[in-house]
Amino acid sequence: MHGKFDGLGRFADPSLLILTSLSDGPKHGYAIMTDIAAFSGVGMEPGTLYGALSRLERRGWIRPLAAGERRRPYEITAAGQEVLAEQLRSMQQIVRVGYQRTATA
Amino acid sequence: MKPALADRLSRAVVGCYPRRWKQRYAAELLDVLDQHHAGPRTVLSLVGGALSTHLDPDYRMQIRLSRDGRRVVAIIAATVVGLPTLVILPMVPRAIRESRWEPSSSDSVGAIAFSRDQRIMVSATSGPPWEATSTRRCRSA
Repeated sequence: MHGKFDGLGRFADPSLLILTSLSDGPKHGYAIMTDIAAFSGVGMEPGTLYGALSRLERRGWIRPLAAGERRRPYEITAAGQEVLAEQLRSMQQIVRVGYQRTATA
Repeated sequence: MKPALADRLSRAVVGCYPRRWKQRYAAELLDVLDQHHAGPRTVLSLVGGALSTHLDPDYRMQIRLSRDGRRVVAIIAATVVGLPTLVILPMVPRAIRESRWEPSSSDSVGAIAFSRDQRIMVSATSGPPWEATSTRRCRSA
């Protein structure tokens, strides 16, 4: 199954978590980290977060909003929402097949 | 690792990101570090992030050397490559000559003998006994 996430390689997971976090509204760096920890239990470190943020911004999947002092919020773009939806559909398919196979095993 | 040390290291590593990246993200990243409890994983994630950003074509490290800098690099390269060459080159003709040596009638050879490892040992009449040797090995009979 190939999609727009292919180019991200090992960064697919942080990117997916960040896009999911931003899908309910703009957030700045630390708010993204705490939100991800709350909904997924993943303790994302600042180095990983900002590596993924810069890649997502370059791909046009998130955009920075006006910065307040040192905090700059980010919001998901239409392209980012499309990529996130595609990735979630792909994961949903994997989950469905996984459940089916474990149920019949 | 103590939290204070991890925090200091984390901030030091932020300084190691490429300049253009720092201009864009360093202030935000430092703000996150202000609120985050830094630990060894924080330092590692920042080291990994700095390395991968340096390897990123968009932020790749740009080394701009001045004319003096280029001259220093050229001198160092010439020393590293040239000095061993200057030492080894004069030894080459002698090594070739010795590897091809055969006694002739014009040589003042006093005696020839075989050493235990089958090397030819030559004693010159004018020099000290058994000083000159050849690297050529004898064929076994």
